[in-house]
Amino acid sequence: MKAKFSELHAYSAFSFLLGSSQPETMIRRAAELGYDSIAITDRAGFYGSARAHHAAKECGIRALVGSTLDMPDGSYFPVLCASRDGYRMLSRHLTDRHLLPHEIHDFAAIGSHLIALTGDRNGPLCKPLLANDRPAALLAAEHLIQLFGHGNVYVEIHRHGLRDDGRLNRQLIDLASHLRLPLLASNAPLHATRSERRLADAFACLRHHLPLDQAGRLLAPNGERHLKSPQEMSALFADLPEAIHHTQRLSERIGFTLENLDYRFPDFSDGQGNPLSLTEQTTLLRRHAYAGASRRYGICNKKVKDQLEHELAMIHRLGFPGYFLIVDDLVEFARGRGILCQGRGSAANSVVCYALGITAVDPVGGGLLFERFLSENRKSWPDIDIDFPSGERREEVIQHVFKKYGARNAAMTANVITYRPKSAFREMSKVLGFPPSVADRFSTSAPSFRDEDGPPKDRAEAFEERIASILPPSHPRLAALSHLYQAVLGMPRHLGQHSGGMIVCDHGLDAVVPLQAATMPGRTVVQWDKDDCEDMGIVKIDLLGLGMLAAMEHALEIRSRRGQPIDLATIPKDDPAVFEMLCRADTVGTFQVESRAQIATLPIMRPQTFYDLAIEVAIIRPGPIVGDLVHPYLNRRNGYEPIDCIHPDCEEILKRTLGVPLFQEQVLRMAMAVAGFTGAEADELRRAMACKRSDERMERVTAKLRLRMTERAVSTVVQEKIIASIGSFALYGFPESHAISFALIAYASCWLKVHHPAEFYAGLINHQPMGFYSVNTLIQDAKRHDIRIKPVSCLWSNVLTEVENDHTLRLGLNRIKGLLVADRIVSEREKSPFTSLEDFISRVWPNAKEKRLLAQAGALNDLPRVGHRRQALWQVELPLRDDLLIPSRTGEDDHLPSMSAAERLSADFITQGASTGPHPMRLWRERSGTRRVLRASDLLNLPHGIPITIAGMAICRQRPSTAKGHCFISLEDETGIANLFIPKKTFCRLRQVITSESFFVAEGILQRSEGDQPTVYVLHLDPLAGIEPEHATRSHDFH
Amino acid sequence: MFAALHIPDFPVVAAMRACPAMQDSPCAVLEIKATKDPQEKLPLLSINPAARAAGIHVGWPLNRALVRCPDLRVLTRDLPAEATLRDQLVHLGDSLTPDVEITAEDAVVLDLSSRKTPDFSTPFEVEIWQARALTPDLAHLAARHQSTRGKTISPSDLMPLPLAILASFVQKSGSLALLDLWGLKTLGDFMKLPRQALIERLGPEMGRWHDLLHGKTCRLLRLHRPPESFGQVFDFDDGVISLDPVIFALKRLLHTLSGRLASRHLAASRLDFRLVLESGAEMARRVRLPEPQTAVEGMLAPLQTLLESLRLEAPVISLQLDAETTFATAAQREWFGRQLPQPERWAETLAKLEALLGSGRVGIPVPAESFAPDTFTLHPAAEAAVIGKSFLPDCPVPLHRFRPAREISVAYETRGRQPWPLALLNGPHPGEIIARRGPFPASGSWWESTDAWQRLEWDLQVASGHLIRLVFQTPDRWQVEGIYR
Repeated sequence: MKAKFSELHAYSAFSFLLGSSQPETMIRRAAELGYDSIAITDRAGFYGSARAHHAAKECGIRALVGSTLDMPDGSYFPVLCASRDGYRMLSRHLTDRHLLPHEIHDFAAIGSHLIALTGDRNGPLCKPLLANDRPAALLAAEHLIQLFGHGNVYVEIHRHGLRDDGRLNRQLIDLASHLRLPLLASNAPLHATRSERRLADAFACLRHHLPLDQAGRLLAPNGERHLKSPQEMSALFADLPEAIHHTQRLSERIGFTLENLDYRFPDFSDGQGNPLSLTEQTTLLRRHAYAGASRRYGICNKKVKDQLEHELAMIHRLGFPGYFLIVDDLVEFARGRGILCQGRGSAANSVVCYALGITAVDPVGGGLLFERFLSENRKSWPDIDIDFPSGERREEVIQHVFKKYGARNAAMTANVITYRPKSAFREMSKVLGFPPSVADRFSTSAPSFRDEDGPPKDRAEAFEERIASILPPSHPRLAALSHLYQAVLGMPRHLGQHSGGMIVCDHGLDAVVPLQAATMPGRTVVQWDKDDCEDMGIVKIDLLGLGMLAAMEHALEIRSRRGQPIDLATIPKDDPAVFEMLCRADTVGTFQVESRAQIATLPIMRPQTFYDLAIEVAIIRPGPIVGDLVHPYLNRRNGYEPIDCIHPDCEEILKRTLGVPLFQEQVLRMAMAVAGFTGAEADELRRAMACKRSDERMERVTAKLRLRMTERAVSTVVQEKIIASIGSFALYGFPESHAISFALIAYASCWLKVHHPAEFYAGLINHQPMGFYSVNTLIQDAKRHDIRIKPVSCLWSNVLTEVENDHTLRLGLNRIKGLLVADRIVSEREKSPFTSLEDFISRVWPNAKEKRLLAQAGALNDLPRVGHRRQALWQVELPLRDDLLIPSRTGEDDHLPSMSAAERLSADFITQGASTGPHPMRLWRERSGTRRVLRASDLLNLPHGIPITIAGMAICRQRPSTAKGHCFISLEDETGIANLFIPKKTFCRLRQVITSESFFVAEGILQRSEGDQPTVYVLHLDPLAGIEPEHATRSHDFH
Repeated sequence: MFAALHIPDFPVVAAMRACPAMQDSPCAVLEIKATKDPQEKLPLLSINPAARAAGIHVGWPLNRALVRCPDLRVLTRDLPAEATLRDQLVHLGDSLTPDVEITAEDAVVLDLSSRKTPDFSTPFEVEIWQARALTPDLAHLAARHQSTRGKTISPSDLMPLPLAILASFVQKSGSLALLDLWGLKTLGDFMKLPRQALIERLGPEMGRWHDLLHGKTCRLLRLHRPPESFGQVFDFDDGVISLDPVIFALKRLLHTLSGRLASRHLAASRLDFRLVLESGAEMARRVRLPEPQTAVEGMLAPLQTLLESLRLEAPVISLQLDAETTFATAAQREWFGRQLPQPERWAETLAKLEALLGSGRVGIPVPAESFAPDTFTLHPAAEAAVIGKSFLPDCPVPLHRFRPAREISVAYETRGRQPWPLALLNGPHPGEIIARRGPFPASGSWWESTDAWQRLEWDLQVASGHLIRLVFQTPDRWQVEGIYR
């Protein structure tokens, strides 16, 4: 007879630093071993339950839900949820423990909904028994019975091959028999297989902050705490068959799995807080949608009306009107507060969203596919992502949601922080006793793109390559380090919060999933990440922060203050000046089209319409680049290559992108047209493409696609083309509507840069860090656009950078790093102007460091009797006497030399990270007097193929995985930005120079590619001699 | 008049003495400091002239230096070599004048006021810069710069020297950073600033610097005196083959030691003695005294016990004795604390045991914090008077361990992937196994490539009735580890 056993006390890696296997691994191993069910009982939460449930569904077994609870004495024991009510109770209990950690929480009226096991050697029974304290064990058992009820407590028995197992188990059996409690066999596994014990040991060391050599008895005595087969467990407990039998009976008794999670998205309520019925919600949504459509379209034509009716009918059928109304309510709240917001993602395919003002793209005019957003085949909820200005304005909206739904009904989704190469190496090398300098060297060594994403073999090779220069292959601990490093990569490290995903509920979110406090005050976070929530059918609303929206909002606010308000909704969408700027690739600071790759592509693409801009936004993505799709599109657009729509059935789908699949909708529709995928299958494909954590899911869908195409006699060549295009989208695919939404913001940012550059740059500078470039590069770019940037001054600057007139900005006091008295300076100055340095110091009371910072930055130069920065530095050191009379200074104060231009530059970079003064390269050129070295602007007038030498400051180094090892550098000088291309071989030879230095002199050949863009093909590169390294600005590096 | 001697690039020069072949190669030593910021890059602490010629400067991060000079050899800072070199420098100073101050790690200042200017041309293994001035600090500063070395300088000669040279004086780097912020490049820039204004701004220390650079202050040297040693040597005229002359000589040395300790109000806490044999071999022993002692008898007894246990291969030609000192015990005896009534007897007993068992084999065994079998640590018997933690054995039945465990042959079958013993074929108690508990698997030190261990243990009853602990280790090694009594 086949042995039957269920493991009811298993830990996964989500019992942070305790278990060493992913929940999916535990489940798959359990299924392999022939288990019917297994309970993952992670410490203090249901962290791994959702993943376990998903994996169990795939493997055809049941993942029971439970958690391990900590007792005040440091012991802990597992509790299993026998029913949905039990799950709710435990979830609420865990929430209470997390949110109110200093209070004692007990269960009330548990009934038979929760089942307690007595735990392992750290359990409330074993701990006193191991210390020979049998009365304490009896008391602990009685306490458990009192809490959970007599029929709901099981005494766990383990046999881990330890000498004292026999004695301990005899005592446990005696206790169970005395209290008439059933015995339950368990192995309390910490890992799926024996080999994962090593990682569990390493985690034990991290938990106790000790290296392996000193951990001693904190480590596992052997590798027995893994999942054992039912046969092994039966053999192990051959003398106690009832302990095995009880596991089976108990697992059968437990009827609850996460399949029965009772989550319901809240209904929209009327003004009095009463939830509306579905019909009432639909009626309300219809009213809002038609009112909004009238505002958007004026008089709605038939096409719009038909689409509205189609969408409203589907929304009603699917039961989603409440969702739309709730999102509408959020957007209305933001609008009411003057907060810019715009929906993105597939929601932009919906005319209802457009009418409600959630999105800004007209899907009827743009011919967007509503079914990409919502279809009857889709089981999941629609996904509406809304962008808000990052920072305080978005926080206002988030806090509004918390306030509206209540602290226990709203939370952010979690973000599981996993071990990445650097953290994995740092912690594992620490555990093995390597000095921190080894980890430092590993961190600074060039990573390989195979480090994380490749298959295990590639990862091992990448690690070997990387470690070769750090440790000798003969090092006695290298093998252990390599094993631990590989094993820990991708394991959960701790829980963070998602950037903007919120979930809400109207009947107790804490009963659906435990909540815990986020690191940001006033926020709570659920124990599942966004994918887990989606798998569990929990609806998420993404309230995302977009730095550019914040910058644009600030620019508009400045414009309004200056008496010339602008409504972005009314700006023309076909402004030739904007497209001219895009064609010039003069896009530093704008949204989405400012990157080095975008700047390189814009002159080739030469966008002439808004839709061209949407394509430009979508085209520079890792997905299309991997798929080798950029050049085909551009070649076809410029007539260098014939248009090929892959298959006749794809012609209609790919026509607008010249036969090149650029958008996710196109890929889905291709699958439907060529492979005959149904809507549900296409949705499965979309989910596989969106799910970054599972290659398997993608492989399965791809195999299905291939099979269906073969069935339909699609040629192998076409199949390969379609599969390749889908593969490239798997990670970064863009829906068309999303591209259009982003293009709207990109267009608006370009329009602001063209027509209101002063406000545009002020907004950008005030919302750093964001975007691709440093403030210094933005300042240099502003200067090239005839904007004068005035330095920080304690007499004239406000806290933020302000616009003085259409051509002048004044940097704000917040630019000085570490200055905490900016507000006081402004408020004191508003009371009365500062009359002297003494007056300034006596009223503002900056500390010694702040005084020096202000003087060094030149912010005190405008005060009377302060001639230059050094004079200010001399004067601020004189202590202020707290006399009755206003102190006055007499005598000669000019003892120090004034700063040279180079010194001023250094001081600016040290205090502000940017300078309004000359570019460091200009100073270098003046000093060196050389004419041999060209400037960026010189390249524009030189022919293709001539050898040149150019020098500048690196503001961007990129070596994307898609570039086959080649490297790109943007080199800035006083005239602009030059692009360098460093072939792989040259990069390998000069890696140290490229990654360590800030200023380069490069020798190479000038190349003029498509779009007439000059690029320097670098043959050799040296550090630039005679320049101060501290004059360098932050570089945007990715190498 | 004062003179200063300075070894330029001291850390790298000291480190390079171990590898003279690299004299012409660019070399550098990295700064060693405990940094909490894992991202902080360690700067170059010291470089040699070849590295300087390659355009590298002290203070640069290593990666920047490597870009300029890919051949740069990074040496590990060698603190013992630095100490040796410093001792040699001090010795050189001592040979020139008795009044020597160790002013910095790499410099000494000599007081020449009571003697003629000595000859500085004494050959030295590494390059030494020297300079003379009317005050010790001026001499020290002048010796640190190439342009003033070998000269007798006045304050005005120092004016072109870089301000950074003051770093050798300054404990806090903040003041120098501020002077740098002020744009002061040379000592002259600093000397030109008004003294009173400087003091008002930066405090009296700046005034002291100002005076020092203007030669207005001349401090007394903190003279170097070698540390006092209690080491004594007794050379025998002829090789001694009996114990009595050694004891006699030892007593004499102890009397001298006792007198010297008493005159300094010190006591010996540890004695190191060494016998040099005619064969050239040496025998050294260290005796830690249970209580600090000055009495000859108290010190002699444990030494005598040790000596009596010795069996030497050759006659003794020399006896060396040294002591580690501490302050004599001044603590009042506790009323309720249990203390050794006669610590000297305890020390003597330990010395006897050590003589019997060997050095380092006497102490209090405590089970080690490890699952590794039969591991314990030995706490020094003289120190670990109280072992607070109680240890519960895994098995309550006493085990008579065989050390080392006895290798035996076992008849076994394989169950699953594990061996299953059936009978012991040889060893102390061969016979059929009639009852067993186990196996108890245990493993550890898996991270060590050579010391990883893995074993299976059984508690067995053999036909003869004996209870035995049997161990199996891969690939096919059976041992009897002990017998339960």
